[in-house]
Amino acid sequence: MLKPDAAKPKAALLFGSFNPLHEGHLAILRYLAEHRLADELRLVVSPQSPFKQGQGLLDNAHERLDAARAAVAQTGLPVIVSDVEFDLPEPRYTIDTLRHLQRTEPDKEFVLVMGGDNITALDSWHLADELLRDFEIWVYPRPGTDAQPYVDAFNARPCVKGVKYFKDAPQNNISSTEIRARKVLTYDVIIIGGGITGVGVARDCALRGLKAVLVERDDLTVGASGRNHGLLHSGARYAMGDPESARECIAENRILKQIAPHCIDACDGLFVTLPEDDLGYQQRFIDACLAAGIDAAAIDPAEARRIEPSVNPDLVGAVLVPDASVDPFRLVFANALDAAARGAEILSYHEVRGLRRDGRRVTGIDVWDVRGKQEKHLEAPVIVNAAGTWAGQVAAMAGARITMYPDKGTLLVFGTRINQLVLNRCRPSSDADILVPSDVTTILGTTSQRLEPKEIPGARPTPEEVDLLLAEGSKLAPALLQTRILRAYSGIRPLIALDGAEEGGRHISRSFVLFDHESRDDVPGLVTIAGGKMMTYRLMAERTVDLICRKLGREVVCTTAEVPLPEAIARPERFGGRVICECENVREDEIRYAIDQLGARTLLDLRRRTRVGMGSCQGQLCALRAAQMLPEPDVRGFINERWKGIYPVAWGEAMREAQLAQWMYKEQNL
Amino acid sequence: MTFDTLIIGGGHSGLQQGIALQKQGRSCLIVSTGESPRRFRDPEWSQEVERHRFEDLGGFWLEDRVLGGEFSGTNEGEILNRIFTESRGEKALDAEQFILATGSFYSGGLMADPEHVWEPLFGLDVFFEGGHKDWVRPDFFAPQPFMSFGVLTDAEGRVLRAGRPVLNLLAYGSVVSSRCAR
Ligand SMILES: Cc1cc2nc3c(=O)[nH]c(=O)nc-3n(C[C@H](O)[C@H](O)[C@H](O)COP(=O)(O)OP(=O)(O)OC[C@H]3O[C@@H](n4cnc5c(N)ncnc54)[C@H](O)[C@@H]3O)c2cc1C
Repeated sequence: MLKPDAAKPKAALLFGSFNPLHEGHLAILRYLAEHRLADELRLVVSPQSPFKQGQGLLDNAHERLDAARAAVAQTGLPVIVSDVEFDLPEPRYTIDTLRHLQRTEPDKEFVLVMGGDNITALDSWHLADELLRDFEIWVYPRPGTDAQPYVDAFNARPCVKGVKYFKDAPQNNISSTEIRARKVLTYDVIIIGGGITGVGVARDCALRGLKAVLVERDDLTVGASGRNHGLLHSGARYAMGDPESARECIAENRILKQIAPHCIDACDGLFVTLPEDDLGYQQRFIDACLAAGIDAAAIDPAEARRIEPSVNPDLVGAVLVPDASVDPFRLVFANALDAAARGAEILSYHEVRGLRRDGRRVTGIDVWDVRGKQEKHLEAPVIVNAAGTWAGQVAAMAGARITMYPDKGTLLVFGTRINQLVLNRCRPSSDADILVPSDVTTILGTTSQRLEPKEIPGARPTPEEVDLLLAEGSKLAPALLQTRILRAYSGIRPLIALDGAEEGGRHISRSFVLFDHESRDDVPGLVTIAGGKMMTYRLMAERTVDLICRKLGREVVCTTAEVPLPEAIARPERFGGRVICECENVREDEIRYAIDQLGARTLLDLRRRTRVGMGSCQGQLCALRAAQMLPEPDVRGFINERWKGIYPVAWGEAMREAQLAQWMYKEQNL
Repeated sequence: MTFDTLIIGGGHSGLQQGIALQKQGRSCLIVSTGESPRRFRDPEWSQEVERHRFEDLGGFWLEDRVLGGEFSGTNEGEILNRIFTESRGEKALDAEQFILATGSFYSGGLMADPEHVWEPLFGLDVFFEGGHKDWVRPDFFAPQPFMSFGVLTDAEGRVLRAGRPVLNLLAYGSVVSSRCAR
């Protein structure tokens, strides 16, 4: 046994994630302090990856640190809460941190404090021999484990500095894991739904200093926010029929171009009149645009053909408007990342199963942690229902009634970018009359079909819709018929009935609805924000958080119109390893990164994070390869999901893929 | 140089036929382009290896794209006289016997638009039913009608053109409708 350096003051270190810090931790600190066993007590809080969400209650490492500091301060114990590990490179093993401390504070002797349940596995720790040789270890008892034999065994080994067992220290029956399962957490605001509306509200709350948590039952963007047309409307489409929406659109169009330029392709748009359309409509359309504040100018058909060669050459009129194209995934993730960076918690894979009530007031939510397989309870004075198409179901949990008009829209993705500008038909809005360029592809849409709520889960594109889209869309740009179709997809518009209105579909206002259920249904604590468009999310969030602030008596002004959004998911530029997905050039290391850091577990998760399966083979070559790396390799589900997009367009190139898929996956037993 | 048999398509079926015929002492030329999708279904199978087997048996291989052919009519049916290729231009290739082994949709042996399925080289008679809505089923794992589409052949394996057999053109492999496949 090496002689301890008696001259040096001793610092005892308790390591942990402290998620949360609880009475069990405090009891051991109290014991050490009371018995003056060390000259200094330190709590070393370990950071976790910001993306490992949903594992604990406090997902943000800095929040855990602050919470630990606050809890320690309350006890008055002489304990230093240390964030030393926050700046150390990964992977951070205990021995590395100890060595670091030895280097930076050579005049101290460090002692490692651990629970009796940890000592049993100490041999499997990184460089355990070194740890035992160079550091004293203090063990406190934990219920259910008898640490004595382990302590004795370690002390019997040569080259062990010394393991002390405080057998008589008070035991505490509680563990963080149990607390996590039991504890009710309180916030200022709980937001239900991880679409653009929910993440927008979360970011606005965070910017105004409200403590917000967002719960999404699946992954972010699985609802309408990941299945829309990606058009940053100028408002022109609504100028004739819905001037209020038109004004909202043009205002938000200008703001988003300022705060999120990296999510937007400011390509402009054309409204074209074809020989079969009424040219008289064009002037009325321009007048309505100008009245709504939208810059709309007629241009010569020849000029239109010059700036947009793909347009139907027979056009008889064209109007230039400031339409643009927006990347929905980037916009959602940019909002979510910024909200999290500013202190909001984003809990994906957390499904709201019930609302907690106190009389008629809604006070919290019962949420099922899908991956942690446990129930959690969160409380807040205000709960925001941003569940999109499912908003009616959430409101019903509180006994409030909202009528939703789920409306299916189907779109077609083409394998090349056909048009440079957004192309619209200059006529009353109809099916298949918008062509939006989206990066290197073009998206044609959309259809409109009212669904019964029970039809929502099975909604998918049909071959009939595809025929309609092509017949109409090719009038705008004839080249569509010669262009390879990548796939079809459908989304569901969360249209909402205005109070008193009975009719839906395109006749319902595309503007949004903000319900204060306190005044509307005598259900205090619940607010619903729904309808609208992806591109008006910021305004929707602003109005919602204004209402929340009034309710909480915290008047803070909104700054989302000025504070720019950060770049969406920062992806390390170079990943190595074997190529897994040839079409999108995704390598092994990127997949590993998505699994470890971005929480991907299934092939569908992976597709949203790495583009695996988005390219021209539509996942047929890479799915099996990628699946082998994943914790939940649901190849069958993935292939069926991709098939939904291919089967309605099964001719030409898509037929090749369809056939390859049949060969590859039918002959295997999945 | 003349050949007994000219095989169009050097994938799995074309090579199988070529190897079998060489072994019987017939001289074959395979005209082919592109890769065979067979490797996706059978990772053990290698086009390289099979092609070498064929060439070691004395078979000839020409990397070229067949564009079409010239037919003449007789009382019993049609005769394919010669075929044209991309790089040979006017210098057509002729043979007594032809074999079509161009594969299915994946390899371009069959083509489809929303309403029709056709055989692009010679406009042969093709089996398909309805329009694209009828060719597929929403459930991937259900039997898919399009997988049975392909050229029609008579009892002797000869392809049909406007209902008449082409006397010296046989078809093999996935270009043939599974209804006629032997
Ligand atoms: C075909 C189509 C085309 C469109 N085109 C455009 C366009 O070009 N431009 C534009 O601006 N807008 C467009 N929109 C509209 C836009 O997509 C939607 O208005 C917007 O995405 C709605 O966002 P949201 O967050 O309110 O809803 P969603 O994105 O649907 O989010 C709601 C979320 O709530 C979650 N949720 C539901 N129930 C629960 C629960 N119990 N617990 C936890 N979470 C729950 C869901 O999983 C979902 O992720 C289009 C819509 C469609 C369908």
